[in-house]
Amino acid sequence: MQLIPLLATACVLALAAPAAAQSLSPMHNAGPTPSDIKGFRLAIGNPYRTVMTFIVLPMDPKFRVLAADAAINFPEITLAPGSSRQVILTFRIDPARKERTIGVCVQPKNLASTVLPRVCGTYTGRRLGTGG
Amino acid sequence: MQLRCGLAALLATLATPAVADCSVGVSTPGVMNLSASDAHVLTSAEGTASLLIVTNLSGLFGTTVTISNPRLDTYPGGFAAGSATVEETYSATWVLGSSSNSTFSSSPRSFGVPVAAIVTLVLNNRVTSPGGFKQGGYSTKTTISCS
Repeated sequence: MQLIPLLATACVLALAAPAAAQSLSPMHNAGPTPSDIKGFRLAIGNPYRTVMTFIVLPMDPKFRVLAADAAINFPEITLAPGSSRQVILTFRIDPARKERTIGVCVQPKNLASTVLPRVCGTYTGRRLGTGG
Repeated sequence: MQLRCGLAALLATLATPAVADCSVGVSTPGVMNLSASDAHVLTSAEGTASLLIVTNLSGLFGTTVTISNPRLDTYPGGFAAGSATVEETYSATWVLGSSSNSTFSSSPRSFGVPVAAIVTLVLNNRVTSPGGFKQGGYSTKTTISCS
């Protein structure tokens, strides 16, 4: 019975369109690469009602600092309401290591708010032929 | 059972096409005011920021929401921002779960959310300045990461 007020609250909140939002899919992935470069295809979405410009940042796996030797082909994208776009993440794996994990964060550009909302994911590339 | 069907329908409505594994939206930005009881404290107790976070079924292991350490974002010129302490409390609720910490802290915090949840997160900031506050506008910034 206690669920009903919670559900009602969730419904009301869900109908109130937030001022800014973004989505990232998948949020985690891993895969092999025969070289020292690995790429992942990511989908960035704007599920809400306003046009939004997002910054897509390659970061360390803890999402604290920008990652070196990593790039996004479209680091800044503007999306219409309800639309999404694919971007490509590529990063270099040190030949001395068999894998590397990169974080990616998507955040609104120039959002005047007390809160900076980010959606982040992690992506691991493993070099083939490195014994494991 | 009807409730479960209702919940499933709600989540299906919210889950934007296949791309939305996690969405973060700011519903209310929040407002800070000088504390009525202490001129050395700015607080957002009466104007907290609220967010709506939606995770969907493809996150099999759930989602982690991380609240960064809050920082002073804007302040008037000449204000000694380095001596100010910015702290935060949070309260998060979702169907069948909740997480909160009512102790003001300047450290990052995180909590786990199960699969397919609609999370309402409310933040309350507090800025303490031993030397008081100069006249002008102040605002804080907190980074909310869904991962």
